[in-house]
Amino acid sequence: MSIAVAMIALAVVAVLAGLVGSLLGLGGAVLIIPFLTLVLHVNIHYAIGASIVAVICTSSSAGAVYARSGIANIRLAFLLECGAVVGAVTGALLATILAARFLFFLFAAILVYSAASMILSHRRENQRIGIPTAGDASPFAGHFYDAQEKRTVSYVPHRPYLGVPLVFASGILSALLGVGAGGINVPAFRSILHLPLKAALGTSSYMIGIIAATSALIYTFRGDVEPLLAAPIACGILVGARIGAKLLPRLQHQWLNRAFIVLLLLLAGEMTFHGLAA
Amino acid sequence: MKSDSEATAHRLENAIALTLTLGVGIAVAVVLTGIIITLSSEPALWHLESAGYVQSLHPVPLRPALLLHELRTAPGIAAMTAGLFLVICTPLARLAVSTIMLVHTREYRFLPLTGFVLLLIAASVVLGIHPAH
Repeated sequence: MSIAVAMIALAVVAVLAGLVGSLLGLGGAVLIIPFLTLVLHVNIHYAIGASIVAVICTSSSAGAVYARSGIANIRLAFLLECGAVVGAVTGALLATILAARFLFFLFAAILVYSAASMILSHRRENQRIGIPTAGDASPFAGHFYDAQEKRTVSYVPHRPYLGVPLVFASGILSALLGVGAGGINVPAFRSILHLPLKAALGTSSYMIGIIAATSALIYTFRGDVEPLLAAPIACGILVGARIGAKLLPRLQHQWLNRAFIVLLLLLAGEMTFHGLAA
Repeated sequence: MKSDSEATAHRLENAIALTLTLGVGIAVAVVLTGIIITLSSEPALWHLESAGYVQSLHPVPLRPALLLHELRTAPGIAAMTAGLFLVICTPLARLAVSTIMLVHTREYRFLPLTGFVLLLIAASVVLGIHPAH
C-alpha cells in the first residue's frame, strides 16, 4: 500500500470511527489505534499521538452541540477539568517511560472494560439521578430539554467533588492511550455523581477535548504527532461525527450496541496478542 | 421570561459553542488544504510503500523555526502541521473564552477553576518544549 493510499484508507477508517464514536458515545480511538498498529504497523506511540487529535475533533464537534443545548453541564466541567488536566499531564509524561507491551495490554483492558460497561448499560438506565429539591442551591445544578421525552430534565450532581479524583485517573488513561476515556467517565458520572445518562454523555464528551488537548500539546512539541497520519484522521473523524449525529435518531441503538460489543472484544483479543508478541 | 442567571448561562453556552464550531471548522479546512497540496505536489507519495515510511518514523519536535522552514520546502506538510496545532488549540480557546465570559458576567466563583486549568496547560507546553530527561 502506498503512502497516499494509506492516507485515504486512514481517512475512511476515521469517518467510520467518528460515525461509530458519536453513535455509541465512545471515542473514535478504539477503532483508529488498532487500525494504525495492527494494519499499518505504526509504532503505538505515533498511533496514540494521531488518535488524540481525533479525540479533540470529536469532542469539539459534539461539544459545540452539547454546550448550546445544555446537555453538557459546563459548570460541573469547570470543576472536573481541574482533576482531569492534572491527570493528562501525568499520563503524557508517563507515556515516554512505559513500554509498548504494557500499553497494548492496558489498551486491551480498556476495550474489555468498555464492552462490559456497554453490556451493563441498560441496567443503569433506571439508576437514581440527583433530583433537585426546594433547598438545593448547588452551583453545579443543571437542566436540559430532552427532545425524546419531551420534557425539561433538572438535576443536581451528587457529591461533585468526588468526581475530581475519578477524572484524574481517567485523564491519566486518556493521555497514556490516546483515548477519550468516555467509556470510563460516563459510567462513573452515572453511578457516583448521579447524572442523567444524556448529561453524563454530554459532559464527558465536552470535557475530553481539554484533557486530550493538554496531552496533545506535550505529544506535538515532543514530535509524536505525525502530520501524514493525524491529518487524514482529523478530516475523516469530523465528517463521521457529523453523519453520526444526524443518523442517531433513526437507528436502533440496541442493535448497534450489541454489534460494537463484539467488535470491542475482538479488538481486545488482537491487542492482547500483539502485547504478547511485542 | 428568562432570569438574569439563565440569560448569563445561555450567553456562556453560546459563546463556547461558537468558539468550538469555528475553531474546529477552520482547523480542519487548513488540514484539508495541506493534504491536497501534499498529495498533488508530491507524486512519490503515490508510489512509496507505507510500510517503509512508518518504519522510518522518528520524533520531529514541533518548533516555530521548523514550521517556517517547512513552509518554504514542504508547504503542504506545514499547512497540515499548522492545522493540527489549531485543532489542539480549539479546546484551549474555548477555555480562554469561558474565562473572559466569566469575568464579563462577573461570575467570579468559577474563575479560580478555569485559571488553574489554563496554568496547567501552560505548564504542559513548557514540559513539551523542554521535556524532562
